[in-house]
Formats: sequence, structure tokens, C-alpha cells
Amino acid sequence: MHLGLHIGLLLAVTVFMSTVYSANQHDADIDDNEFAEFEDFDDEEVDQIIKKDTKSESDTQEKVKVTKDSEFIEDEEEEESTVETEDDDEFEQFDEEEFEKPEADKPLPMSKSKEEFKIKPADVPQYLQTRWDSFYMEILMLAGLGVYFLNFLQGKNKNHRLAQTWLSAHKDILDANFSIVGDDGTSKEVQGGTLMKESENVYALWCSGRSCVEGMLVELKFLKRQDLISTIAGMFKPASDQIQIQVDLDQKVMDKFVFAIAQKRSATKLHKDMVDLSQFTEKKNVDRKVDIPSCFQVMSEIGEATNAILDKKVCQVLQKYESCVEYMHFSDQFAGIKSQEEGTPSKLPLGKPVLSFCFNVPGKGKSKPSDMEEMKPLLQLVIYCVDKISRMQLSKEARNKAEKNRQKAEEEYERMTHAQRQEAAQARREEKRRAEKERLLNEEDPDKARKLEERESKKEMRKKQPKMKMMKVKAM
Amino acid sequence: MSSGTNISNDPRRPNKVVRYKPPQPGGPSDDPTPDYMNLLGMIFSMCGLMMKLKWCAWAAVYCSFISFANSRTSEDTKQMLSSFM
Repeated sequence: MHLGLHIGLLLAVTVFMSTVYSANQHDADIDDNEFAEFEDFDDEEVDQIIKKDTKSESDTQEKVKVTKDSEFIEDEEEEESTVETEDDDEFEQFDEEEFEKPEADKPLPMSKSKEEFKIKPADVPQYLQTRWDSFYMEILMLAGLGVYFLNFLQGKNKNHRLAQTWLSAHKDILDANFSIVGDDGTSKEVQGGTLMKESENVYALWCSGRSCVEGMLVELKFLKRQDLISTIAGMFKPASDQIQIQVDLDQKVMDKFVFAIAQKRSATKLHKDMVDLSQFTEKKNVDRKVDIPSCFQVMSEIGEATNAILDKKVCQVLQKYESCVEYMHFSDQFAGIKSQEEGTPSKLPLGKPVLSFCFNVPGKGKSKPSDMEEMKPLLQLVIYCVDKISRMQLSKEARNKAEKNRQKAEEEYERMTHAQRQEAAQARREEKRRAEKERLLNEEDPDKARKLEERESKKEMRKKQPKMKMMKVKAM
Repeated sequence: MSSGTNISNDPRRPNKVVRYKPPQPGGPSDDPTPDYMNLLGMIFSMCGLMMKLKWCAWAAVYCSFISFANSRTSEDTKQMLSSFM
């Protein structure tokens, strides 16, 4: 029985072996077939393949040999599997290589050369063409800047010429009235003859040394000819060069009144902006008695002063130079333009006696230097007004009225600021309390802390107590 | 006109000369254009640098030019030059 079993087992093994061997042979055949296929291809394009990596080929050939030699199932299986997979890979590789190589190799060098040929000739003309085209933006910008700069120079020179012409035309009158014409305030000793240039379109001249007058500041405010944008804007909204004269009078030379006469177009703005005008005067239309063109509006505190100022000579000038006179503003409480801040200022604005004039240069912007000669009579008007007002004396009634007005204004101001002052005081008290509380918190020493707390509690009691008392009195 | 009303004496008083006091560097009561243009120029130049926009850089140059043209002579020229940069 045992022998029989053994024989049976042996037979089974041998049969199995044979079948495996046959299978191997089959695979080998398959392999051969596979390789035969490869070999067919290889024969045709051996050169190219030899050029490329042939390692895979040699590897597979070696492994095929190994499989043929080996007799162990496991190894063979592994090798078969590896061989198969590698064959597959090789298949893919070779497929790709075979199919791509011939196609790739031949066209590649050709296309590359073609491209190179294409690029080289194309490069040069492109570069030349784009040189100017691509920079047209920059060229435009630079041209714009050049135009702006040219305009700047031209405008600057014109303004300078206008200023010099004005000065030379008016120098005689100024020298006759002031001992120093053209002080810039910087030199140690007082020297005259300096026309200060505050900007490219604003020139200033300070004259001093005259009776009744502290000093006179003449500002030549020309149009911004140096700025191209302003020039273009000026084409749509014509404006004219202006000459502003501000005469600071000696204290107590001028009687107390506030007066202004202005063109209608600037009267509203003036009335709104000027501190003293808005406070003391109301806008009125020109009296028909007085012979003044209707384009003017009068703002006056005291009627008597108006009549005194607008005498024959002044009216004559106003009529003749209607377009040239923008406004005339005489005030003993001159404090400048209202500040933009909301709420009342902390300090009472100090007023000083000032005569302010504003004249337009004829020509509406297109001023010629010869126009400056025409402005001479207006400067003479200024001098005339200065003298007149220094000699002017109002009646008692007028003076009393003026005094009352000023007192009123002061009281109003005090009232308005009272609220402000209260707030400020409260704020200060709160700050003190906060500081004390902080001290309490920071105090590490318990004794000091206790003392501070006691002090604070006492203060609070005191504050509460008087209120209580007052309540009781009222009830009584 | 003036000779008629003037006193025969010379109105000039050399002993009464008051020196010129330049107005304080006042607030925006004057024309604020140069300050605005300065600020705009700075902003444009920053934008141009950060975002690499050419037109921003050109606008900045223009702004600085305008600011320079409108500026007062009392202002520092160094500031102008630096803003132009």
C-alpha cells in the first residue's frame, strides 16, 4: 500500500513537472515568438536601436537565457513574470521608440533647422519695427512734459515782465509818499527796492515810512501763466490779474466804523468771509443819491461814514474805472478771513485799522505791460483815501453807535465762548479725577491708598452737600 | 489829485519805518494746489512702483511738475527735487 502511494505521488510529480516544462517551452516559444517579432523589427532598424539604449535588449536576452536554463518553478515563475513585464515594457518602449524614432528623428532635425532659419531672419525686422512703435507712449508723455515746461518758462517770464512794468510805472508815486519802498524784512539795515517774489505768479512790495500809516503791502496776484492747466482753465473761465493793496493805519488814526464797497459778484463772498463785515455790517444797495454805477454794492455800519467816504472824487474814479475796482474795504476791526474751523475761536480776534483795496488789471487776463500805466490813478486813489480817512471825524452820534455795536459784539463773543470755557473747565476736572484714580490704582502702599480714598470721599461729600442745602432753601 | 489834498509837508516819515513781517506759514487759506499735487504725486509713484503700472509713474511725474510750478518760493527746493524723483 505504502509503495503504491509513493509510486502514485512520484507519477503525479513527474506529470506535473512535464506539464510545467511543456508550459515553459510554450512560454519560451511564445517568448521566441515575441522575440521573433522584436527581431523582425530589430533587423529593419538595427542602426537606430543600436544608437539608442540597448541595455533593455541585452537585459531581456539575458533573462530569457536564464529562464531557459533554470528548472525551478518559483524562479521561473518570477523570471517569467519579470520577463513578461519587462517584455511588456520593452514592447511599449520599443513601440514608442520604433514608431516615434523614425518619425521623430527625421523631422526633428529638419524642423529645428527650419525654425532656426525662420527665427533668424524674422528677428531683425521685428526689432527694428518695434523700436519706435512700442515707445510711442513714452514719446507722447515726454512731448507733453516738454510743452508744459515751455509754457512754464513763457508764463514765468511774462509775469515777471508785468511785475517789473508795474513797479517802474508806480515808483514815482510810491517814492513821493513812502520813505522806504520795497523792504523785504531780511536785511539788517532797511533797504528799499526789493520786489519780493512769493511765487511764480505772486509778487509783493512793502512800503513804509509815512504819516498815519504803519505800512502798505502791495500784492501783485497775476494769473498762473506758468501752469499749463490753469492757462487752459482760464480759456473757459476768464479771470484777470489782480492788485491787492492793504494799508495798515496807525492806531487811533481811524474813527470806528466798518465800510465796504464791492462789485456784486464778489460782495457776497466778501461779506461771508470777512470777520468784521459779517459781524458789523449788512448788505445794502447803492443809494441813488450817490453817483455810482449800479454794479457795486455797499456794506456799511454807519451811514454817515458811507456818505463821508463816497465823495465826489471817489465817485468819479469809481465811475471811470468801474471794471478795474473790485472792492474797497475800510475797517477799524479788520481781522482777516474767517477761519474754517467750526465753532468760535478760543481767543477774541484782534482787529486793527486797515484799508484794503483790490483792483483788476484791464485786459481780462490778456494783460499787456502797457496796461500797468493805466493803474496809476488807482494808486493815487489809495493815497487819497488814506489821507481822507485819517482826517475824517464822525459825529458824536455815529461814534456812540459804533461803540455800542462793538460792545455788543464783545458780549456776544463772551457768551459764545462761555459754553466753550465751561466745557474746557469740566474736561480739566475730569482729567484730574482720572489722574487721581490712576494714582489710587497704582499705589501699592495701603496706607497712602487709604488716605487718598478718604480725601476723595470727602470731596464728594462736599460736592453733594451744597446741592442739598440749596434745595432746602428753594423749598422754603 | 493827491497834491491837492496833501499837506504841503512831505508825508514821508523816515523815522516811522516799520519792517516787513512775512506772513506766517499760514494754513490752507492760500492756494492748496501744490500740496495736493505733491500728495497725488507721491501716491501715484507708490502705485506705479508696487503695481508696475507705467501710466501711474507718468502721472506722478506730471503731478510733481505741476506742484513745482505752483509752489511758493519760500518752500524748500530740496523737497521739490525729491518729490520729482
